[in-house]
Amino acid sequence: MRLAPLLPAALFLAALLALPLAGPTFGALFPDVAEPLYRRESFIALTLSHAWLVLASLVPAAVTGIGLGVAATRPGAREMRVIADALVGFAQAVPPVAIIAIAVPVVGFGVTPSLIALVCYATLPVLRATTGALATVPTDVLDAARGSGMTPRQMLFQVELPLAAPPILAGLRVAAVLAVATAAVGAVAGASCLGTPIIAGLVNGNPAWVVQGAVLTGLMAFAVDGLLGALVRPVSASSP
Amino acid sequence: MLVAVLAPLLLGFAVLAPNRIVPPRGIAVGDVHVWGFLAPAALAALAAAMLPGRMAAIACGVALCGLLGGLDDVAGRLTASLSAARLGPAAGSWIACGALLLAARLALGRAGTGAAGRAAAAAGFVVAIAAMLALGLLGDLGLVREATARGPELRAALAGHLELVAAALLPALAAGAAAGAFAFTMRRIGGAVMGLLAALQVIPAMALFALLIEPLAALGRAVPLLREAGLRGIGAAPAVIGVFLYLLLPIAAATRAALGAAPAAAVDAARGLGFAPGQVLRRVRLPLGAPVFLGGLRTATVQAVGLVTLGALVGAGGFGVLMFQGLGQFAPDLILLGALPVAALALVLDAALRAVEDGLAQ
Amino acid sequence: MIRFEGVRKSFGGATALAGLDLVVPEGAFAVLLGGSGAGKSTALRMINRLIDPDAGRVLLRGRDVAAEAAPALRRRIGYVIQGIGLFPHWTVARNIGAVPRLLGWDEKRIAARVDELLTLLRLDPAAYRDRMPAQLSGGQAQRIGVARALAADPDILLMDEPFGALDAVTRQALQQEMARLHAATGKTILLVTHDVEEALSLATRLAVMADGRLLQEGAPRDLLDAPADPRVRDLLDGGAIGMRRLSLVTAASLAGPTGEAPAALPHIPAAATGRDALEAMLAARAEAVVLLDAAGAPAGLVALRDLLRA
Repeated sequence: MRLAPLLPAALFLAALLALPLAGPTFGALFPDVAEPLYRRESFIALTLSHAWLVLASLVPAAVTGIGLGVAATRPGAREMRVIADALVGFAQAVPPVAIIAIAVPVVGFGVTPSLIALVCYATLPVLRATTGALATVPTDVLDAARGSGMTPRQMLFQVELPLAAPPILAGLRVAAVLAVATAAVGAVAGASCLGTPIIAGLVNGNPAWVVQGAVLTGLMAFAVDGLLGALVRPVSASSP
Repeated sequence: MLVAVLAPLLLGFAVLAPNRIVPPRGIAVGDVHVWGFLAPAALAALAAAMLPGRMAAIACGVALCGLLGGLDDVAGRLTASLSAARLGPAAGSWIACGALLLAARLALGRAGTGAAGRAAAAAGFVVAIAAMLALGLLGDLGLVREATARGPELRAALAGHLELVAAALLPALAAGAAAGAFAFTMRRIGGAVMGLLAALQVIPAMALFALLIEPLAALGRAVPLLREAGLRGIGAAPAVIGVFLYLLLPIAAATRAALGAAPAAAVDAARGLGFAPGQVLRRVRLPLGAPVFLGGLRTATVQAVGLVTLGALVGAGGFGVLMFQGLGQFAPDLILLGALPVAALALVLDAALRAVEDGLAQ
Repeated sequence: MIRFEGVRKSFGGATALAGLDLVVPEGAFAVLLGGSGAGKSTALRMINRLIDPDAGRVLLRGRDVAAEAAPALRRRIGYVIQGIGLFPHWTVARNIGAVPRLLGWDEKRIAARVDELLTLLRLDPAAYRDRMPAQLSGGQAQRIGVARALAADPDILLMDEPFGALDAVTRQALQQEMARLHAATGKTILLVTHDVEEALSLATRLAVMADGRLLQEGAPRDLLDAPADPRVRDLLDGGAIGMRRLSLVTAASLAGPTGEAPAALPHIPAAATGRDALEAMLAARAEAVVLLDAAGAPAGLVALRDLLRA
């Protein structure tokens, strides 16, 4: 049972290592294609830059998401709650591609538009999970904590955040999976990542590249989901 | 509100591209004399910080109209003689637009305006923009020029986008509702089905669309009849099927939740009063679950609008085509022409379905 | 000593307290009784500054509570609520040790205090120390709630409808527990309730409130005998004023000498109430009961007509 979450990650690693050797296989599968294996950049380099994009956006997203979520749920922070609601409502409606595309005219091609979209979109699930989780801390528990003489800071760190941790971590997991997908779309704005072979394949009419990029992107998403899922579960199990 | 005033001053006001090839150059507020528009706009923005609730929102709208009008004035003067030239807002003006919209939303929130009031405010703003367009006060902006030049394309994109959304959403509605009902009655196997649908969500959309191309192409080759019917690897098929698959989870989950939304006590009481199972479903479960189901439908619709955009990558139509063309040619106005309607469409559908939901809940 | 001086409070347009003046003497088991909306919880929550008054003062031993930082004040005052509010992510021991930990006690002292309190509340420390709140019954959880409130040895205990959510049997057991704790520790206890029986069985001082004002305050017996306000009489009467009067006196205070009591008379402990005596007579269809002292020896006799003296 403990190994199950690692399975997608292992599969992803295996695919990553096996793919460079699979040229002949793809040649057989796609006989019309002149260059059956994507070689402009190594898959490992693409994976690393993809992972970098995800991490570089996830960390600020977690900090802002949790920070905004905490700020929005403090008493007397109606203003913050309205901002948070507006941001969540707006971003749920606007697809990440649109944000990447809109960012391009403003900041130019490359990694930046993807990073902007990634931070925006990874922040939202964390923010939503944080406000939701903090709102479900029972009022009796909060009343008892205040009545015991905890300062607002002690209440936050000793009671509210520990109780809200499992849903917040679940939100982080959603954010990470979303970030993997959004990072792939970043290829259209010129970011180098696992989406790059897909775009290159579509542009050059090379279905083999498309499959290679798509398989790796999909497996990476499952790997991230599985690994973070393994992190989330023990935490929730420790607080029955 | 200071942000809205300072950003255009510090981070650049407008960007002028004489044509597609020459790199665009920035234009500062001081370079052009459009105080006739900008001074009132800045005043309105500053006033918004001091005015109460709704007045502040209106002031934000006025400031936004002034900013756009100023941009248009500059555009009219600088690009009048050059038909290929395009003038758009620079980063500073973009930030100002965003800050003004957010401030307006905040002001409405502070005034305690509900969803209907917000919709009215948005409609008022749209009317104001439309009026400016009709009066020719925005006609020289790059985006508007581009839109005028591509009118037919834009209409085709809208039709295509809506068609693709419907093509994915309607079957997903049927299949998702069936799956949700199944999951509600057969908890064990149903749970596994829901798990499968949830796992599908993990696959990035771009990867799923891309992976669908080859099997569909092979299917088309093998069955000529299907190819005749329009099933090819590249085209609408992978996008529609992909979006369909993504929509199954929100709809199935909402259906299951909707069927279970009736309090156990109410269902128990209905049974005790002698309702037949069908009557319990029709008179208790469905009325009580309808808002929950509609919530799922709203989520699915908004998702569909966004996901279909990505479908343009694999050859489906819609606004995504304009957007990716724009990215390919580095034509900012074209990108916006694809991206802004998608955002607007999603927000409008979201608001409309939310209004229906609120109506049902009362 | 707790003193309310002209305390007013309104929430939005609704007045919760319309000028409350009340004194709770040191060492009393004071009960604030009233219907919902009487303002009794608001008054209670002002003592540990969970609510601040709009006007007037709340004094604790002569000092305005507003003069002290709220967290420090609250750590000196025990607080028990109807919802119990145990911290669900902490063990029983950690829950009880919450305030001592806030006060910076060392771990050994906290552990000893936890075991002492569990024993005081008749829960086996070895069995309960490491349980999670989700593994407790409602009555056990509220015992832990009381233990948590007593942990830092506060000399005032505030209880806001503490037994409201418990079943009748558990509620009665915990009420007896509280009466015993009050007798044993001598702490000042202020309890809010809308349950007349609970108020009469626990209070040494009873304050009846309505519409944000104090109607009457005094010994429970005085309120029963001489209600100062029709609303006090209505509330306390409840069609059972005679029975309530009986339940406020001990059977021993009504007893005469045993004399030549027939052997068939029922027996009750001498500490029982007049009401218990009546119940025993009715149950046995006898005209008198014999009181037994702690050693089981006859200590007196209560006849049916003795009950009229209650």
